[in-house]
Amino acid sequence: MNDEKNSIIESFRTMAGKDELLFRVIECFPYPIQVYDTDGTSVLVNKAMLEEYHAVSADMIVGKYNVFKDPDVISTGQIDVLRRAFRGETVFFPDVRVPLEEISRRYGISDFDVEAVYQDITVFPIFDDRDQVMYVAALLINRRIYRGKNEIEKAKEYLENHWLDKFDLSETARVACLSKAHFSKLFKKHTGMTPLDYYTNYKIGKIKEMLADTNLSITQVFAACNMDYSGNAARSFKNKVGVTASEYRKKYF
Amino acid sequence: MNEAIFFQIIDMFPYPMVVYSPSYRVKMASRAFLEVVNHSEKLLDKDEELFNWHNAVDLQLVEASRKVFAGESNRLHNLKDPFSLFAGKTRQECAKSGIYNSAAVFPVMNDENEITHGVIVFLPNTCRKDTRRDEN
Repeated sequence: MNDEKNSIIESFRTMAGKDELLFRVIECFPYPIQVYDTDGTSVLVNKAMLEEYHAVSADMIVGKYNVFKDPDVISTGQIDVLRRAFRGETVFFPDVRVPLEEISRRYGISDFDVEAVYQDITVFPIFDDRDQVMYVAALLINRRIYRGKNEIEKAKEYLENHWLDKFDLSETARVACLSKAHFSKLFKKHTGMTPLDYYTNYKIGKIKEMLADTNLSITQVFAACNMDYSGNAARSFKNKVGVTASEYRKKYF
Repeated sequence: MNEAIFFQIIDMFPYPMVVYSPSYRVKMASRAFLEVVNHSEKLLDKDEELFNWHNAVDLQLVEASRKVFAGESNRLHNLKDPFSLFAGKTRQECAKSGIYNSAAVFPVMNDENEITHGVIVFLPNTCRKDTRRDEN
C-alpha cells in the first residue's frame, strides 16, 4: 500500500497520458486544494495553494505537513470534526481565520501583504474501489481578506466577526484602541458610513445571501441572522434594499 | 491508478463542477453537478451538448464560459439561476440549486499553454470581499 501511495505522490510530478486532463483541472483550479494521506500527511498541493503561501515550494509541504499535528488546527478544538472526513464524511469549516503568523514562521515568508484572511474550508474524502477512504482533500476558499493594519480594518474585522451579536460601539472602539467619539468620526471618514450602518449593511448582506436558499422561509432566514422578521428588522431591510425580503427573493431567486 | 485518484477528487468534489471542451461538450462532471441537474452519468457518455445558451438566465455566466477559451478566468457572484445554462434546466427543476449563486470559471491549459478545456465550479454565495487598506 505504501509503495502504491509513493508511486502516486511521485506521479503528481510526472503526469502524462490520459490522466493529464484530470491533473490539469486540479492544478489550474483557482482555489487552494490540499490532499492528505489517511494519517493526515500532505500528499498534494495545487498551484493556487502555493500562490496563497507566496511560492513556498510543494516540497516544503508535501510529505512534511501533517494536519493532525498542526498546533493551530489542534487549538481550534475541531480535530474530532476533521477526523470525520477521514472516516468518510464531508465536513465544512466556515469562516476560519488563517494563522498567517504561524505560516510565516513555518515557511519563512516575510512578504504577506495581508493583515487577516478568513476561509471557508470544505474537507471531503476520496474513496478507493472498496469504498475505503484513501485520501482526504481540503478545498480552501478565501471569504474575507483584510489588507490594512490600521484601526479601521481591525474594527471592520470585529464587526464582521460579531455580526450575529448586538451592535456594540464601545467594544468596537475598544478593539480599534480609540475613544468612541474619535473612532466613530474616523470610521465615517474612511468608510463613508457610521459603524452602525456598516454593521447593518453587513447583516443585510447576510440576509440577502441566505434568501437565495429557497428551502428556508423568510422568517427562518431572519431568525438565522438573529433578527425578528415581525419586528424592526423587516422595515430595516426594506429601507436599505428598497424592497421587502419577500419581493427581493421573488426578483432575484 | 493515477487517473483514479484525480478522477475521484473531481467526482467526489462536494460542489457542482463541469469540465467542458471547446465545442461545449461536457467531458466530466462531479456527482454533485449530476445530482443538482438530475442527470445521469450516461448522459455525459453520449457527448451531447448540454449547454443551452438560449435559456440561460445569467448572461455573465454565458459570457464567462465562452471567454475561458480566450484565457479568461472569472469569479461570478449573485447568479440568479446558474443551472439554466445546462439543458435549459430551471431552478425549480434542479434539486438544491438555490444555494449555488456563485461560480468560478477557468481555463485548463496543456504544457504548451494551449487551452484545452473550460471548467465551471458552482459555489454557495460566500460574499467574497477584499478589504483594501484605507488611505490616510
